[in-house]
Amino acid sequence: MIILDVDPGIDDSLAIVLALKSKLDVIALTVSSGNIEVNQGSINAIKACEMAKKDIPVYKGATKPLFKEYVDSQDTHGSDGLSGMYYKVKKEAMDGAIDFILETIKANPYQVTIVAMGPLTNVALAIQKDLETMKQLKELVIMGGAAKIHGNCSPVAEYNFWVDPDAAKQVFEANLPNVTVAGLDVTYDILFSPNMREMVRQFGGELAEYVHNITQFYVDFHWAQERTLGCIINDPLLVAYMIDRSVLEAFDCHIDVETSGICIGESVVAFDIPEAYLPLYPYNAKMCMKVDKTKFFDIFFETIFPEHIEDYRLMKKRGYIL
Amino acid sequence: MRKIIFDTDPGIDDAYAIITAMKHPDIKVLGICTVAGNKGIEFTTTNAQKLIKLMNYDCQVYKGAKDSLLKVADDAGATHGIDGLGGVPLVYDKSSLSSISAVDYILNTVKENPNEIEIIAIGPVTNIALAIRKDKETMKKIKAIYTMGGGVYRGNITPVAEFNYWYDAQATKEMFELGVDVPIHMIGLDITHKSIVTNNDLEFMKMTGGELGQLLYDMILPYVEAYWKFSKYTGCVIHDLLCMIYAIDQTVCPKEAIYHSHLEVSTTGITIGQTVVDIVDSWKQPKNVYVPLKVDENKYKELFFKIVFGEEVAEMYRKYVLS
Repeated sequence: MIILDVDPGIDDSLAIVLALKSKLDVIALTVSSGNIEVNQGSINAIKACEMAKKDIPVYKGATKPLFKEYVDSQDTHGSDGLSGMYYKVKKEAMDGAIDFILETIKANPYQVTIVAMGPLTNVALAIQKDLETMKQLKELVIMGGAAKIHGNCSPVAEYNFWVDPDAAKQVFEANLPNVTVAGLDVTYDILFSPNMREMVRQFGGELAEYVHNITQFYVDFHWAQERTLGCIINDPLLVAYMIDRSVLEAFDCHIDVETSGICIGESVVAFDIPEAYLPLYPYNAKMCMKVDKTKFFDIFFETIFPEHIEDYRLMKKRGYIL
Repeated sequence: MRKIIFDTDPGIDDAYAIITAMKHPDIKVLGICTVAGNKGIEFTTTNAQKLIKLMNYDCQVYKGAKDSLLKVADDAGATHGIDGLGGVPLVYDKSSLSSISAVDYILNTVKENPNEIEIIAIGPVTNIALAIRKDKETMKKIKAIYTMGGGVYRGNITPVAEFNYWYDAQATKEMFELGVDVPIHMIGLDITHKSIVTNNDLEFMKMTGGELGQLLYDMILPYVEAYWKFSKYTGCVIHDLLCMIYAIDQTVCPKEAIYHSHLEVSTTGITIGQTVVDIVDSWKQPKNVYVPLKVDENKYKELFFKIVFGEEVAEMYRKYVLS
């Protein structure tokens, strides 16, 4: 049983579509303010469900970070979080994300996995409310942080942790079992190139058009900001990892998060901790440091566009993509 | 002749750096300023004096800061042995200690030799910060600073902070504020850990390096122990030596991998002492540091053997160790 905790967001939307078109048992989406504030984010989440032709519940959660002033990322994702498409949707999100998470775990102890792809505000609030229940999660998979690579909000900080560093810190301090983190060390490799976008557009159909449209602003941003040709789609990588664990390789580590000063939002990650220090710095997560990019894109395209597998493989063979 | 002042906390790797400079024909070590770091100030000062005596070199030691501006620790524990020089028996002359303080010595020397003095800062940089506080205009007339410390993507004393800079984060911050006026080259852990001096190298040094080779070998043993214990290295990282070799010949680091960047230092929280280096220039701030991120480790070690033990030993190193 999987709950996707999201802040859609372009890459979140792609991740939702990927998850819902796969065989994963996604039971609900919970939304927090992140890339875009929670109300618009919830509309975007519902749109992604509609595009995947799945009707699953969407719950609204945190409207802002625990302490830090809220900063969205409209500069990266567009004024509505989806390249300014302002989609209309057929239903409304419900309130009560935190209670939904806790009730679901209580009813299904050790069976629920949360895939957290936005700020960790919702997860932290759930921990604050009922730590014992949260310890009965099966698994927590997080997109965020950067161990040995530069950040995207400062030289050392990644957006999800940076936007709510206190929430991220609380989550790692809770020492939940089975926490896996995929941050910029692995997601920088997941580049959705203009060639891929054009291929998707040529696939045709409503879903292809959606994927093409919502990524336009993201491509423009990446070029303007850092001269990257194409856009980095962080969040679908976690969903691909849920589908096939061999996409990512993770290593035991102790993670703490800086909550003030110039390094605010930085994930401070220690690997290979000498035994003498383990009582002080226990392994509280696994950090992904290796990624199989080709396997990711195989899963991504073949799951979202199963009817176009042949074209995808041909483009790959001809060297236009990957 | 290049005019160099050491600012140092010897320290085994400091000793390697200082001896290398003293052996170099085109370098004049004008003086050695000491600071607390690897060991307390009394140890680091007498250790500097011991090195002068060992090398029979003509310069003096200038005692510097006993405490860091932002105190977090006493010393580096047992990493450098009990006395900071691996416990090897060395003597020193009392007369090699000057009555002038490190800060005054640096300022006086720079005033007398404007735009000619290069500082090799291979300990915590407390003295440099104090000199800047006392007379920044004079410090702007330093030719260059080569400093061992920090890291872009890693630390050693914490996951993100390196020992020298962590030991005095405030001083480090103040030193780098000078970096817009004076070229500061930061030799950080990213490259020092890519240039491990292995036991093969050390054994070779012992067999070919005569008395000095034997002494340097004996000196480094506790350091090698520490690297095995904490990092499972067969060998050790002689951080300060790489800083010195880079100061001698920058081509040990490929030019395209030397980043001219903006650097800030964290002085609070769990990241205290971390160097935040804006390699991708996302902050668009004035550039205050040169940071090499790649190193030709073979060239580095070869240069060390050539400078300290001569061309013949370097040739043997190429022939029997590298190939």
